[in-house]
Formats: sequence, C-alpha cells, structure tokens
Amino acid sequence: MTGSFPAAMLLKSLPEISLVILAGLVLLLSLVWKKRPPQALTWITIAGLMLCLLLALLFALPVKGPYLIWGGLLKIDVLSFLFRMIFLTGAALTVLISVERQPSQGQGEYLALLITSVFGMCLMAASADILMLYLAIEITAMPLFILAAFQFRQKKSAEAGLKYFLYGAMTSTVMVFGFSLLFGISGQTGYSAIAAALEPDRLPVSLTAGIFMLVLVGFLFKVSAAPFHFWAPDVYEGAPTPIAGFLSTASKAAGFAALLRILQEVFRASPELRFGLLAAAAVASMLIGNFLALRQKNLKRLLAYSSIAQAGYILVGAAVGTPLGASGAIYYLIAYLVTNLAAFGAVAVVSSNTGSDQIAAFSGLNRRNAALALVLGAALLSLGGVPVFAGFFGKFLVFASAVQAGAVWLAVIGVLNAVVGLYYYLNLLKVMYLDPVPEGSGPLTVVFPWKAALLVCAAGILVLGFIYRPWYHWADLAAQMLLLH
Amino acid sequence: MSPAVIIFIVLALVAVACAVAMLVSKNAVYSALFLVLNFATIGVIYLMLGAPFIAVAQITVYAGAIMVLFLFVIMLLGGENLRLGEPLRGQRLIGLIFGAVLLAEIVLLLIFRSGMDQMVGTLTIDTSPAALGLEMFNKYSLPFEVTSLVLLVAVIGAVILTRVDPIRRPGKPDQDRKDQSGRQA
Amino acid sequence: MQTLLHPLVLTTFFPLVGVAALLLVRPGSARASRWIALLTALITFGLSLWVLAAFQRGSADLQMAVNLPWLTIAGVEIRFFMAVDGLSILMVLLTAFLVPLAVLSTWTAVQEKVRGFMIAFLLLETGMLGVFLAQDLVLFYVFWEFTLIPMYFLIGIWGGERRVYAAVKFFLYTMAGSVLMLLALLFIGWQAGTFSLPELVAARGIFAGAQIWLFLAFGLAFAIKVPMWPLHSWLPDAHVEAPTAGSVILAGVLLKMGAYGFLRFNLPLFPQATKLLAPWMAAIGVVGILYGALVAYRQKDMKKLVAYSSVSHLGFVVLGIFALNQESVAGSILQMVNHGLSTGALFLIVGYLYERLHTRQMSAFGGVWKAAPLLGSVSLVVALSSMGLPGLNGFIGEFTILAGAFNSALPAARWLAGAATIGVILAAVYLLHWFEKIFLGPALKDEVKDMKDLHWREGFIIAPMLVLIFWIGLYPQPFFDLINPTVSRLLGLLP
Repeated sequence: MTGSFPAAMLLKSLPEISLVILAGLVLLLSLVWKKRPPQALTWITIAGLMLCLLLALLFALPVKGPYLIWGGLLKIDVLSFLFRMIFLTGAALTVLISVERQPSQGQGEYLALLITSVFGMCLMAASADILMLYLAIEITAMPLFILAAFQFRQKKSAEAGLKYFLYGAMTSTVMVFGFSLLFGISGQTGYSAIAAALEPDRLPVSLTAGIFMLVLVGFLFKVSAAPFHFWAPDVYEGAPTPIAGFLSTASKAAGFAALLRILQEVFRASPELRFGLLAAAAVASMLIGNFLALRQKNLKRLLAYSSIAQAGYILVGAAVGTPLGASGAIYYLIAYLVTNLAAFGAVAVVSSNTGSDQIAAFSGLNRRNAALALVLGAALLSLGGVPVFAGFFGKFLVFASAVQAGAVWLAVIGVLNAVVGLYYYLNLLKVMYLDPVPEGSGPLTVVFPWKAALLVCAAGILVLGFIYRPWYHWADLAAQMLLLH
Repeated sequence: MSPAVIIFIVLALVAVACAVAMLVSKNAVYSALFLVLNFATIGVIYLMLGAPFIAVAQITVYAGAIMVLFLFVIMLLGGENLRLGEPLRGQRLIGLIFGAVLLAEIVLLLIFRSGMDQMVGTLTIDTSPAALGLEMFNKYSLPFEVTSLVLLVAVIGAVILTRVDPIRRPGKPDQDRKDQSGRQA
Repeated sequence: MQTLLHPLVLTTFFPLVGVAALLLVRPGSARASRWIALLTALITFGLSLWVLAAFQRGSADLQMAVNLPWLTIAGVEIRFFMAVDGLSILMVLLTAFLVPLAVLSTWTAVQEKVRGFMIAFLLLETGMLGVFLAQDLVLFYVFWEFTLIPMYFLIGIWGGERRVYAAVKFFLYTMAGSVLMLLALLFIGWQAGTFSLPELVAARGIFAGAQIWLFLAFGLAFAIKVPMWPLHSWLPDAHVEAPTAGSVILAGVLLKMGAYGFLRFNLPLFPQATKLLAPWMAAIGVVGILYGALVAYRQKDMKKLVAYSSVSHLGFVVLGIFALNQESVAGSILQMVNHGLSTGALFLIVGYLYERLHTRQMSAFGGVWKAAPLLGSVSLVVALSSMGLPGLNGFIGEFTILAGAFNSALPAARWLAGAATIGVILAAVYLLHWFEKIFLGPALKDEVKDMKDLHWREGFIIAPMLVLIFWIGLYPQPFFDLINPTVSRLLGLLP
C-alpha cells in the first residue's frame, strides 16, 4: 500500500504525536536547561499532557462508524478516545505526585519515560492489529520496567524493576507465541481478518482455546490478575510510590482496554470460552487478592493485593461479554483511576515525611493531617464499594452485568469478596482515625503539587459517586461501539 | 532419499548435538560457542524452508549480536571458571521431566495430527527481503517507528540504571558526601 | 429548582444544608456546631410536619411523589423516585422527631470533635429519611448502604472502649446482608425491566418462579437489621459502645429500617413466598422475643439490657408483620414507633445515669429514687411503657399484634401468640428488675446520694417523648388512621 500520509490521519494521531514530541522536549530541556527552577519540568509536562488532551478533544474525536487509520493498525473509536483521556489524566496526576521535596537527578528521564509509556498506552487502547498491539505493549512496558527500578540504589526498587521486567518479558513472550499462531491460521495481522479465521467450526475448539489461553497470559499479567499476579506485591512495594500508583491504574486500564477490544473483535465467536476462562481468572483474583491482603503490614503491599482483587471485579465485567459488562468495566476503571491514585498519593505523602510505608506509619493520621486522612478514607471506602463513592457504581454495574447475563453465582462470589475487602479497608480507617500518633512525629508537609493531585482525586471520587450519567454514557458508547466491528 | 532430506538430517543432528553439548559443557564459554553453532544450523534450516530473510536475521542477530554479547558478559564476569552448583535442588530433574513431557507432546501431535491440515493457512506471502521491506515501510511503518522508540527507551534505561553520580568539582561545597561509587553516605 | 422545593426532597436533603454550614465552621467551635446541628434538625422536623399536613389520611396511594429519570442502564431505567404513604409517613416523622432530641442529648455528653459528630449525624439523618422515602430499588439501596458510613464513624470514634470492634462488626454484618439484597434487586430489575417499586409489584409474576430465593436474599438483609435472632449478635456490641445519641438513633430508627423493608419489599413483591415462609418468620420472631427477654434479665450492664430488650421488642414487630392480618400489621407499624420512643427514652435515661456515675453496671446504683425522684418517676413511666402497661403506648402496639397473631391464619397461631404473651410477662420481669436495682432500695453509695436530679435540659428532651407515650397510649386512633389504608392495600396484594 503506497501513498502519502493523509492529513486526516495525522490529525487523528495528533495527540500521540505530540506525546512523543513532549517526551523528547522534556528530555532535551532536562539536559540543556540546567539552572531551571525545581518544578519547572513537572509543570511543563503537565501542561504538555493537558495540551494533548485538548488536541484529542479538538482533532481526534471519535466518529460514528469504525474508523481505521495507519493502514488498519489503529482504530479511532470511543473506546480509544475515552481511554486516552484516562491515561493522560492518570499521567498528569502521577507527575504531580512524583514531585519530591528535594529534586533528584534523572527527573527529565523520569518524565520522558512516563510520557513514552502513556504514548504506548494510547496505542494499546487503539490497536486493531496484533503486531501493533505487541509493540504498543512493549513501548508501554519498557519505560515502566525502568521506572520501577528508578531508585535502584535501594534494593527493593532494583528488585521491583527486575521482577517486573522478567515477568513481563516472559508473559509477553507467551503472548507473542499466541499471536504467531493467530497469524499462522489467518495469514493476517488485523483483528477483523483473524476473527474471520476464528469463526466457529473452522477450527477445533481445543486449538482456539489454546491460542486464547496463550494470548490471555499476557493480558492477565498486565492487569495483575491471577494466576499471573505474583509480581504485583513486590513490584508495588519496591517501585517508587507514584509509579506504583501509575502501574495500578493507568497500566491496568491499558491492559483492559486492549483486552476488551481483542475479546470483542477477535474472539467474538467463542463466548463460552471467553466467559469460562475469564470468570475463572476473576474468581481466583478476587479470592487471592482479598484474602492475602488481610495479612499485610505494609500499605503498598496491601494496595497491591487489593489491586489484584479489583482486577478480579473488573474481569467479571469483561468475562460477561455484554455491552453492560464492558461499560461496567470501563466505568470501574475510571473510578479506580482517581481512587487508587488518591490512595497512592496519600502513601507518597506519608512515606516522604516519615520514610516508611508500613501501615503503622499511618497511625493517627487524622490527628496529623485531617484532610489527608479524609482523602485516604474516601479512597478506601471507594475501593470497598460503599455508596456514595466512585467505586460503588463501578461494582454495581459489573455485578449487574453478571446478573443480567445469568451468571448470578459469579456475582455472589463478587459481592461476598467485596465484604471481605471492606474488612481491611475499615481496618485502615481505624488505624488512621483511632490509633495513637507514633512517638516523635510532627505535622506533615504537603507540597502544593501533592495537594493539587489529592484534591483532584478526591473531587473525582465524590463526583463519580453521585453523578453517574455523563461517565456512564461515555462508557456505554464505548462498549456499544465495540460491538460494531 | 533426496539431497534435501540428507542435508536436513545432518543439520538436525548437528543442531541437537550442539544443544546437548551446550547443556552439558562445564565451561561457560564453550557452552556459548556451542549455542552459536546451534543457531547457525537453525539458520540454514530456515534457508531450506524458504525464508531467506529470517535465516540471515537469525545469523546476524542471534548468532552474531546476541551471542557475542553473551560472550562478552561471560568473559567480563569470569564465567569460564564458574562452579557448577544448584541453589535450588532438583532443578535438573524437573527440567528433564518437563523436557520429556514436551517431547511426548510433540510426538503425539505428530502422530495424531487430525484436523491440522485444514488449519494450515494458505499463505501467499512473498518472503523475500524486498517484499518484507515494502511491508515494513508501508503497512507496518507505525510499528517500525515505535520500535525505534523502544530502542531509545532501552538506551535511556541503560544509561540511567548504570549511572554514576558526578564527582563534585573542587571549590563547590559538598551538600551530601558521596564516595566514588556514587552511593549516598 | 422546582424539584428541590418538593416537600419530600427538601425534608430528606435539608440536613445536608446543615452539613454544608458545619463545614464552614472552624473545627474547634463546639458551640456553633451544636447549635447549627440542632437548628437543622428542628427545621427538618418542621418540614416533616409539613409533609404530614399535606398527607391525605384515608388514602392508600403513594402520595407526594417525585419521579425523575436518573440513569438508564442497558435499557432499564433507574429513577429518582420518592413518595410517602401510610407505611413511611410514621417512620419519617419518627426519624425527624428523634434526631433533634438526640442532638440535644449530646450537649454535655460529646465534648470532642463535636463538628465531626454533628456532620456524621446529619448525614445519617439524610440517609435514613431517604431509605424510608425511596420507591426505586437502586435509590433505596444507595441510601441503605449510605447510612452505614456515618453510623460506623459515630460508633467508632465517639464510642466506648470496644468501639472499634463494635463498629467494624456492625458495618460488615450489615453489609454482608445487604450485598445479597443488591443481587436480588438486580435480578428482579432485569427480569421486569424496571427498578421502580410500583411497576415491579405489578410485574411480579415475571420473577415469581425464583421468589423464595429472592425473599430470602432481601430477607437476610432486613433480618440482620431488625435484628432477628440468630443474626442479632452485632446489636448488643453496637449499642453498648455507641454514644448515647447514637444508641437512641440506632434503636429508634435504624433498626426499624429492617422491619420497614419486610413490609415495603418482601410482602408485595414475593407474595407466595411470604405466605409460605410466614410461619417460620413468625416463629423466629417469637424465639427472638423470648430469647431477648431471657438474656436481658441476666445482664449486668444497663445498656446491654436495653439492647437485648430491643431484640425482644422487635420480635413482636416481626410476629406482627408475619401474622399477615390487618390488626397485627397495623399494630407492628405502630409498635415500631412505640419502640423508637420507649427504647429511645430508655437509652437516654441510661445515658443520664452514665453521665452521673460514669458506669453502666447496675450494681453501682441503688436507691437513686431518693436522690433523684424526678428522674426516677420518668424512668418508671418509660419502663412501664416498654413493658406494655395499658394506658401507655406499648400496650396498644403489643395488644394489637397479639390479638392479630392469635386470630391469624398461621399454623399454631394460638401457641405463637401465647408464647409471645409470655414475652410480655418476661419484659415486665427484666424491666422491673432493672428499675428496682437502679432506683429502689436504700442509697448506700455516696455517689448515689450526691446524684443530681433531672436537669432541665434532660427533662426537656424526654418530655416530648413522654407526651407521645401517653398520647399513643390513650388516643392511638389518629396514628392508626394514617396506617390502616396502606396496610389493607398491602395485605390485599397477598394471596
């Protein structure tokens, strides 16, 4: 296919292109502008991310029908548009939380890598081709490997980066093997062509199941779902806290975006297979995540296990395969973004002040900084799925979709797990509000960027807890459009 | 027996022998060199299968770049003198068992290949380097560019993760004392 | 804008205005917080009286409905649908009546973080009012769950020694019940294509096949809330550890949500299951009556005694509901109000005693009458009301329930009614036992001798409750007028 790059296509890709330019710019500035004010790069990055958001709104709005660009590699629809917003917002919040009280070296690289990862995530959400998807996964994951190990002088961080890298490499290898089989049976790399080859009765079920399992490995890793969740606790604990927050929200969202798309566009002919495997993964994730979180003493590890459980809930929505399930998963991810970033932001504040992210360090947080305790409390209640916080409606939709599809047993397991989850969230609330303040701890310094980030997240948690319609409308549109290949 | 089959048998024997030798050899450098030979024979097999580009890629990238890197690292770390030890016991046994299982699976698949013929896609892809190049720069130009970005990220990562903190110039007050290796005091 | 001025919306959400005002107050100013909260609660009560004034007695319909589209999920509408009828009007009034009294009771009892306390309390009021007024299942669920949060904080922060344990137990126990209710309501919503209660009742044939499961799923949540034996173990801990105002509201209103739920949802939506399971539910209610009474008698801690008396009294309500005839159901609704008044007053008195001697152990008291005769006489009236002495409110409720149960279509109805009547006797036993231990006999301890009598503020709080206790006891007809039409329509829905 020869030809020039049509302007319309470039316009639609303008946000992604500007992300790459932004990454380069930040890197360049960090090398050239030595005498800059300490937070200059942070604010430039945020301005750049917001500009990309604006460009997306101006130029890259989705259109009614399926719209493929770059020779069928990327699809512009509501799903990719919505998730792009999620990634950009998540990155901006992460950048805000990453501000350190004393600027350290490598800030330019840190930000550039983060932006590159966001670029990859946008590609992941829009991929309509397995080769593009694989590369998008690589470009998303590679900076995250490095970012997880960023504080490599500390053993835990180096361990986190190494574990994430090894696990990621291994699972993506398995997934690529699955992709190669997909290519083998269809001779094409585009989703629609592969879907045609996977039509029922053209292949033995065992083969389709085998390929699906191989491909699923990579996705389950990316969203930290069982049985490929083992990396999460160690990586979340060791990685710098903002990166852990970013991993648990935006990276997970990217994985789910790609998963939802591939489920609907490639494996649409095998609903029972999809349901069976994903439901099993969902149940395992919920059980493992919730029950292992009960014993944790380190807040970041607890949030990691909680994150595994949350992935389980979202998988329920993905497993069901109905538009309601997909929209529920998407709404959940939006709510989860602000919720978890609030939680990790609070952890970042406390660990930056006290040097510890053990649960004991949060003792009596209410007395040391009431606003921070309130934000973290709201995040915990949202994670637990209590009205009127954001997480409630996400869980509501997901379980509603399970009931609607007739999989009531799955919903029962889900709601019972939600109650178990509440136990450790309530325990954290108790530690914050009722336990005595540790000896010799003073007031907490909260620099402005942290305040801004936590405020935005808290507002998000409340708004998404009361006002459902606009977000649900978008999520529903995205889910509906998935069905019109 | 046609010449192709004879060549294949020879190459296959060489490949398997090199692989076994790689596993069994006590010297890391010898192992690496056996692996190079193994890769080279696989490359020739690819050539026989009619995939010239993959064959050349195999030899230049795998046997060339990657294995040379292996050798560098082994020699830097003094790997030729490593003792044979197993921190986790029973790895060999498990490895042998899994290998046997894999072998059994392959054999079974070969014997019972029902329904597999219909799965073989009728690929009419031109595998010559020219065709590959056209595809890469036309249809897959975006992934290609993204790949370059991946490489850039890898370079940045390598630089960051191995950086040494700069030595302070004399005359500047030391805020935090750092020793030569860059570790914070 | 028009919606905001709708009486039901205004009544439910006005406490949030108070919350907003409290947020503007400085954290340390306790006085301002108390007055703002009291004012808000009183205005809310006034609004509820407005609702009462506009309420048409004699009509069994849903009145003053506000029904706005909210969200449409997969083709099924969730609406913001609130309305009042004979079943909910008394609950709304009870709630709006008890909240200002409870706020007043904290004047000296709560000294720390008063602003936070008041915020939690007002949020709780909104939640409770919403529960009673919601006619859309999802809206109901949101309000239902929402009440857990402020109550958790009220118990957990301002409570007694084992408050954390009690608060967590309360939250998790209640939530575990409600999540199954969520799934059940989702199921019937999808089946019937709507979440609005009147439409669901009309369409109940669609999910009639699964109604036993649905009845149990909804019933579990309500049974935990009532609380019905054997799911009651969270209540004594929650009551004991909660601050006085919290206990008053917990006993007065929150527990009623369970019984209300049975009447509002289980009976109309799952008629055959109700008929089938009614004997069992009534029997469990009777077990609760007797169990609660027997265990109450053995308690040494006053608050625990009153807590178990709640279990016992609400057993009557359950019996009344599941006897499924006009008398018993109307009686049980009235008894819900009565229990709110009597047990609420009992908790207040226990609170007053605690404030004086800082202990809840009955053995620390004795002969209080001598030092505080006014307190003693008020307590006597309240205890008699709780026992069901004719002339006071408790009698009316219990009598109608027992008469209805006796004449009901339940198998072994007479046995059940007979056993329940024994519960009345047992109530007298433990309440008089309590009264005797606290108030009668010689005043041996110095602290008791120096005890202050009823303070004017304390009396001011109890007085309205006493007025109602006598009013309902002597002239209950107006209350029954509010209840009866709705009850007869409700029972008409059953086979």
